[in-house]
Amino acid sequence: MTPAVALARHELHQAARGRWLVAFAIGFAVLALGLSLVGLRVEGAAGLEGYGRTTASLLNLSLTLIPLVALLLGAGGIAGDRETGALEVLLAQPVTRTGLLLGRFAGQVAAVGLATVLGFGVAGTLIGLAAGSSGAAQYLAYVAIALLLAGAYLAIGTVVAVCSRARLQATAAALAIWFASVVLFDLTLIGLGAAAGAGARVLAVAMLFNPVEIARLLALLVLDPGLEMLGPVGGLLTARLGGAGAAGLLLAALFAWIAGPLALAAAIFESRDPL
Amino acid sequence: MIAMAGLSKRFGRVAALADVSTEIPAGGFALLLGANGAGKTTLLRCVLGLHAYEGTVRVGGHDVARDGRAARALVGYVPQRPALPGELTCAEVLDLFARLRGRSPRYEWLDRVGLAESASTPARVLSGGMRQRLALAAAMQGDPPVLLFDEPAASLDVAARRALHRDLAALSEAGRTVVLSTHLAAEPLAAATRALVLDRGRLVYDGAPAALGAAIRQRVVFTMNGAGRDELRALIAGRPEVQLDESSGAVVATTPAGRAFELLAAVASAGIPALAVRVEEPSVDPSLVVASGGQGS
Repeated sequence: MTPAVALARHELHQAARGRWLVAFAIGFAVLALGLSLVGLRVEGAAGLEGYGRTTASLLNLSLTLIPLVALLLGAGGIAGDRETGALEVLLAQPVTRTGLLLGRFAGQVAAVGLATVLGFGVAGTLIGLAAGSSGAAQYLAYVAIALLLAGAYLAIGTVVAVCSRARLQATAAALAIWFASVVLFDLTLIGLGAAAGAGARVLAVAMLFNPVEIARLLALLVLDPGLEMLGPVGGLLTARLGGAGAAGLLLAALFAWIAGPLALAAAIFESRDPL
Repeated sequence: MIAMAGLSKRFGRVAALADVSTEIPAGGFALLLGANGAGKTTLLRCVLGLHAYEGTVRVGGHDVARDGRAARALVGYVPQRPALPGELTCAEVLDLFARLRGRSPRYEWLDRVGLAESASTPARVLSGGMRQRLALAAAMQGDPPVLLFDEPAASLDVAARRALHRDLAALSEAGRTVVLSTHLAAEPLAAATRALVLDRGRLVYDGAPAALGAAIRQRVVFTMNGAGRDELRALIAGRPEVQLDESSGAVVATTPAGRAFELLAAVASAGIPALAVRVEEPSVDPSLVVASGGQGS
């Protein structure tokens, strides 16, 4: 077992012991089932709504909650270790700084991934049993996009962690980034569109700077590639690249949002005194 | 086993280490002495590659700056306040640290440090002394030939401290290179084969521990309410080996290590009243090291 794998295992172990992983999984299961139930009540029926509508209902909620949880987890890790002194003990082992960073990141991805898969998995199974399997593939694709989004924000959180001296500082920075990408970004784009008359091309480029928007568009492409739901940016991308090409570009952008921040975090961690 | 040449480290405008050069051969038991802030922790962290520095540091021939991972594979480290994962049990802590070294855990170390019955106990509920011993067991995973201890006795009582120093001497006798950083000098001095004294980042002594004897001093602090102060001054003045300092308001007598109780007996015989008396741990006085000739080897 390499040191990075040992660290990943340790991170997952700690997440499981800390009970947040179970709480996160239960939260997602309850949300998914709740939205499915509420959806049908609104239509005057009883029982569980199918995958397609449930997935659409979950989208906005997930795009808000997953970045928050992932940012806080990613930012707290190394910054918290620095504060408690655990980082000194870990870095005194025969592990490189990049190895330590990647090991912890892998463990965090596994922890969030496990919670997400468990939560959505339990809900998905119950929905499938009650309402049939129509739309199940879209539901699975949506869960995969949620995992990628979690990976991107865990990586951004890792950059915050290596730049922060203490957990509180890291938490504050993580919350600011979350607010900027989930709330401010949208408002800024709307403002740009209205005031400066920015076209779909400008908005499409701007959108690539925010993993939440990338994941939203990708999920919409998977759910319903109709132009009405996709909006002008989605319309432009599908017109230029086709549905598969647009999805490929957005997937690549999400992966870049994982690899880029991780590379930046590793470069910062290697170049500075870590303690 | 450990070699430093021109080792310097600055934190902003403060020089934490200035041009430190020395070699610690394999199998030695070296004491790294100095007051708080002398640079002891910084030096150990440089040996581990935890700080960037100027100069060179080698462990077992590996350049720490270029191949820190290989150098650290040879080193077990016990920091002053070991922050071990508190959620893990003692056995799990050993498992983690062994895996980080790519080895299988050696649980027998729990027995060797007296924690066999605590194998299933979470590390967070251990006392300071027990946590220190668990940190030693964790540091021994991977069987490293070099052991670095940063003020391990600071939070221990006298009995635990003596037990720790015995353990370290035994590890050294078994062939490991042991470096013990401490500001408390007297107890481990007898077991050590080498002494290094740092003063504000400079290496002011590097040689045999025995030759340091005269520089190891012990402070006795008398809190007085006025009565007896003149008599105490007179008594101290009659003992040329004892220095007097009243700058803090209290009467502070600094004696050679091990002679504090001689002074206390004399004070008691003379019937000098004191509100409180505190005998501090012996520590090395760098000014006396420099005065006696500095580098001793």
